[in-house]
Amino acid sequence: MSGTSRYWSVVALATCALLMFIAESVHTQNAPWAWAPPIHTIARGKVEVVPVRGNVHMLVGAGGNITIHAGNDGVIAVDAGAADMTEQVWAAIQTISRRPLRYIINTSDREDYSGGNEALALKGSTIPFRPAEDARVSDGMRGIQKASIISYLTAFERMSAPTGKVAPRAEGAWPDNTYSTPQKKLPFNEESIVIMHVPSTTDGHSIVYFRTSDVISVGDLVDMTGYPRIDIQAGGTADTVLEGLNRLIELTVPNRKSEAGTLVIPGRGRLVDQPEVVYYQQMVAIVRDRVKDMIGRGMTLEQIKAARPSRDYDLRYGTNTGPWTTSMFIDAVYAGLAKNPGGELR
Amino acid sequence: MLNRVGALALILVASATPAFAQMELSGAYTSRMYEDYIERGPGEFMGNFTGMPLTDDGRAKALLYTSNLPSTYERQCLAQGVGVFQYRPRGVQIVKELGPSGTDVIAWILAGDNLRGELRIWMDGRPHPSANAQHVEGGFTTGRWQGDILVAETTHVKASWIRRGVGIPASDESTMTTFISRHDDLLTIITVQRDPYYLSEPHVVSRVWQYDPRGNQFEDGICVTGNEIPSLEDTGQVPHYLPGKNPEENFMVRTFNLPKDAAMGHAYTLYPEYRKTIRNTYVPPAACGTRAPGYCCGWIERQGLPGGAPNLSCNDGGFGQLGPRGRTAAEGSNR
Repeated sequence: MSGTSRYWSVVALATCALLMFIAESVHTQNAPWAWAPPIHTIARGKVEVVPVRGNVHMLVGAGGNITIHAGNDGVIAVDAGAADMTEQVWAAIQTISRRPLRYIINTSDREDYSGGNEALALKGSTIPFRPAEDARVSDGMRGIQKASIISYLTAFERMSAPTGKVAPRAEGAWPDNTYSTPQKKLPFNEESIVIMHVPSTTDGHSIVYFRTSDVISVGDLVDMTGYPRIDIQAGGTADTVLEGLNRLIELTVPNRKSEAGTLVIPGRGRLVDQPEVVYYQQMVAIVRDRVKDMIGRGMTLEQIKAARPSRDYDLRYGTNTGPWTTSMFIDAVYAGLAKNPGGELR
Repeated sequence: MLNRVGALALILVASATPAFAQMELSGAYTSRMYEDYIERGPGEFMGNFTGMPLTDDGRAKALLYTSNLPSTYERQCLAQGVGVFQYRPRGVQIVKELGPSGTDVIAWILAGDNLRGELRIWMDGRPHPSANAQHVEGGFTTGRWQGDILVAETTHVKASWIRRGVGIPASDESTMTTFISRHDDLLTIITVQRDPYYLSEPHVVSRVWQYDPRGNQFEDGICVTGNEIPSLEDTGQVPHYLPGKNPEENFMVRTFNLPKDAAMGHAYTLYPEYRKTIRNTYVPPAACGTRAPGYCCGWIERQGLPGGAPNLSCNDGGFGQLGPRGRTAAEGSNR
């Protein structure tokens, strides 16, 4: 037998042996899907601190994700998590920094993101404009023993109510520092922070760009655990979500081979970068296009749902239980297209 | 029976190779292209999902694919999937990273290139990161030696495509087990990909690589985006086929008379039993050279370069006359 032939014999036998070993491993599983990798879900109730870059950390498990930026000026939190998670959130923040919590920035008014506003704000203190003992300080300026809460104006309006009416949230949870311009800039901890109004799942959505660290905290504009929670009543549609995602794609600069570079902290789920935002945008666009095509062919909402326009994404992003089901997502896509049937994204 | 055959094969392999606890894998390897020549050379036909155990959802997702999709500006430099090196013509460079002692191998690295992240196999026992950590192109991989075989487990990958250019999807929850063994100058790499959404069974690929000391496979270049199609330049364009509208869905049927279930990647068509079911009904195409010349006479041969698949009956349907160094159609058909 020549050397080459012997090599090939050995390689063939080794390959056969390995393939048989693999096949046997697979066949010994009882359930046909037992071999499948585990699908990761986020366990609520335990807050995990995920380092992101430099002074930026991500807290996962408190409802919506929370972004923490810590430095000499103190701590900024983007979103506050759910109301019942404040103590766990605060304990997690304390492992990052013992400096005072100065600001909470709400990306939206949603309970999972702003439910902890009141209790968490009371853990912090606003940077004083003047020392409290200064005679020029009015009584109204002394009540600074809480962190300031920032949001877009309409998010504030949805948490509060005009005088004389019942507000959906207690006053202590209301943002006390709103903006109604395209963006609000905030230098803090030697970081250039830009809070941007990006209508998407609601019309009051904000994203927070930590320019020095090159990290963007985007709230539920990106949800790595599910379909985007489009709130039609609050001005969201699939098209506004896509406009928001397109803007995010333009803001992010990937490193070589389209990886890393700008990091994105989503509203739920794990840390991502531009390629995964692109993939998420692709999913939303494809489902939107399919529903639009079906509407154009005269199909009713029920017929569209029966045709499963999101079928190839349902196992990854969909669910039939909980507060945001696949059916509700299709409802929202349909309703948005019905509101703006000719809408075309650039 | 399977166990007995497997055990016998393992015994034979063990007796034919030295009993080293760890093999030296470092070096440059070039891809050997035989039965996989079409796939790794010119690339597969659109709509060819043969050999893939796709779920219905995976099939639906593969059929939305158009090659315009990766032409969009923000997708041009997306890395290909972690296991796609098994489907590419490029070679692979393996290097080892030593620990502080200068003797312990803490990682084996299958180097990446401009469209593929490196596969770094950690050997120092570190745990896989949190499920909430970032996923990367090459995933996160840990390895161990089983005799002379390096076994590696990869998690934390990005969503991608399993094969080049035909849209077969892999989700960000997919995982891969890699088996690497070396026999003198031949390297065997077997990958087993699993996907909870898009694969109905593990996808197993075996490839043989040839040690190539003159090869420089270390092409870790930078991908630079450019304008490929003006209409796709603006952010937000997502080219895709609507369900039932992919013009290539029946390509393999009309070109090679293949049953559609085989072309569309149903798992049961992967097994030998399936051949028996179509033995009396399958009719090969009368002239594959005219229907699909690339299938019989591929990219390398058409350029007159060495390296074409040996003993492959080549009918290039006249395409061989196109290149200055190409063979004539008659020469091709006689090979």
